[in-house]
Amino acid sequence: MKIIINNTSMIPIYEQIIESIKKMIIKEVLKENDILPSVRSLSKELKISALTVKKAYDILENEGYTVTIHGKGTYVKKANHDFLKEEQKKEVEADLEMAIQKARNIGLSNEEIKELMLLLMEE
Amino acid sequence: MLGLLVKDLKLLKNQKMFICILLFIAGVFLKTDFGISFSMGYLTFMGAMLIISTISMDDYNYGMSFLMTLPFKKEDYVKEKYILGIMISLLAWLVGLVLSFIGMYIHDMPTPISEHILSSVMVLLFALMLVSILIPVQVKFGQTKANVAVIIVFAILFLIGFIIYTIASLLGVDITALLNQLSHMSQSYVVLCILAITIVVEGISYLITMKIMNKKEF
Amino acid sequence: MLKLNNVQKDYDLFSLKCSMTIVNGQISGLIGKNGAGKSTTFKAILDLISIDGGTIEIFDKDHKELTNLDKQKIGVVLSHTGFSEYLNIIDISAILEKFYNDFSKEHFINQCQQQGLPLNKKINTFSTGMKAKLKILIALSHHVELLILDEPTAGLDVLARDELLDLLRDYMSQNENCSILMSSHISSDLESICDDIYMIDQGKIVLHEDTDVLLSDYAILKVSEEQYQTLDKKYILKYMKETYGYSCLTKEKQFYVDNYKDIVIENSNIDKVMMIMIRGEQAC
Repeated sequence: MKIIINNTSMIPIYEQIIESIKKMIIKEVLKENDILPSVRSLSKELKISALTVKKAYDILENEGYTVTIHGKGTYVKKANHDFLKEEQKKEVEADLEMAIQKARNIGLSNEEIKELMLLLMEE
Repeated sequence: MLGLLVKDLKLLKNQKMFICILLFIAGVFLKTDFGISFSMGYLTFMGAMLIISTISMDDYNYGMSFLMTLPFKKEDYVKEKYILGIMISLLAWLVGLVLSFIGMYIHDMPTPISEHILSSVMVLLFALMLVSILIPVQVKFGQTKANVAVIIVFAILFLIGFIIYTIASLLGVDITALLNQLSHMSQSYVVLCILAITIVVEGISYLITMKIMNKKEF
Repeated sequence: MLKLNNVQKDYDLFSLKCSMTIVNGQISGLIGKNGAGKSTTFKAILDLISIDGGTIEIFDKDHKELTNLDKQKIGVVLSHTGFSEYLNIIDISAILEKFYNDFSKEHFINQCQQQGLPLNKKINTFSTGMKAKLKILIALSHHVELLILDEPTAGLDVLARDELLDLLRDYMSQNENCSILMSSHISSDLESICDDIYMIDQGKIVLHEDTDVLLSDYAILKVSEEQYQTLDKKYILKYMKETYGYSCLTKEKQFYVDNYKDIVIENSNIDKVMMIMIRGEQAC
């Protein structure tokens, strides 16, 4: 499984793994019932601790992306596209909220914020 | 324990040169008729000492620490050393015996076979007793201090012998006459006595070595 | 799998007192400076030295009660010792065959050849790297459930270290029940394979943490004198005086990232954490 992690990023490694796998599920690189590599083999590939991988797998399962069958492995669940999109939309909302709050903190007016947004979207 | 045996045999392969020289010297001494008993005794004693060299090779470069993590018990280690020690001494003695017979044949010395074998057995028994004393010394003191310890042990043995002799002469007992008497006693009786003493010495030595091993830290 | 309960060992100038637990399938790292007690801990586990207090359990038995069959399930690498250096690989495989029921001579010799180790030369002619590889291959040559590795990568260059760790990772992925306790000075090695880390100093465990928590939730805050005064020290574990002010160790990186936009927050690693844990002061 082709996951690339950045060892020196501020983003914890388990989060990076979660994001990568989510992306692959959405893009259908990973399809329903595909089996994820075992915790040990992924930790070997990425040269990280197995607990880190386990943490990522546990969170993916909690959020409904995968299901683990004891003794067999971790399988990709049917990707509910709408559900996924909703989830991600919520995340974008939260990020935008934070950005707007930050902007207000440093004294930007609503007009200035909108202008900045349009400028960025044109890039 | 089999693993330990294989290990010691592989280690002894390193002593090939030593063994060859031993056999060569023993063979050379056969040329003279008085050298026969020397060559036999020499071969037996030096052969018996090989087990001591395996203990010192075990200890080389802190090797004992790793060795003791392998799947065997401390008593297996001790048992193996004594069993192998006896076997190697026996083998060296047998070779020496054969050589001595060859030597006697060359020099046309008529000696009744059983008498010769009996007196040769004494050589084996004394070699075994010597090794019984040296094994616990080598195990206790480890590679570096053992050499010194061995020299001290020999010195003590000589000292004891000297003291016994002095006390005996002071008491008016003539040791040489006693020894002469012994040689007139039935040979087999004497040999049996010495065999008994050897077994006791080996037994005590084994117990002492076990105790040392159990207490030792690696 | 392995449990140390308040294990105590007293020497003249040094005393070991520690507890550890390693479960099935876990890889634990032990790090500490020279003389901190790593080798003493390993020797105690392997019954090479006696202990003055506490208990050590291996495979749910007291470590002194392991049978020879139990001991066959343990693989050992020690740093300054191994098989007698008068032996060569062929000798060693003949010896291992007699010690371990499930040892495969062909497989072992194959592995040695794959790693480029000469079969007929005595070990005392091997380089440091070759000796280290051989020790690991010996430890992995029979079916083990517990690996005790004392500085298995010491003296190796980065390429050799990577190859060696790969050998371990391969083994673990094929034997998921196996547990490893390994010590090292090279923390990057531990970070790339261990699930949790024990830090030992002066005979005591000063920190025990999951590797991923150590790398993602711990952080080093580098602050000036003024910044330090106004800093919320609730989550500061230890701090150290520096030329620029103070460096502080925290387990709550996110808290400081969210609330302090203008202080330097560095990702932590095992070395940094160890430095501060050992040299730093307790934050009040």
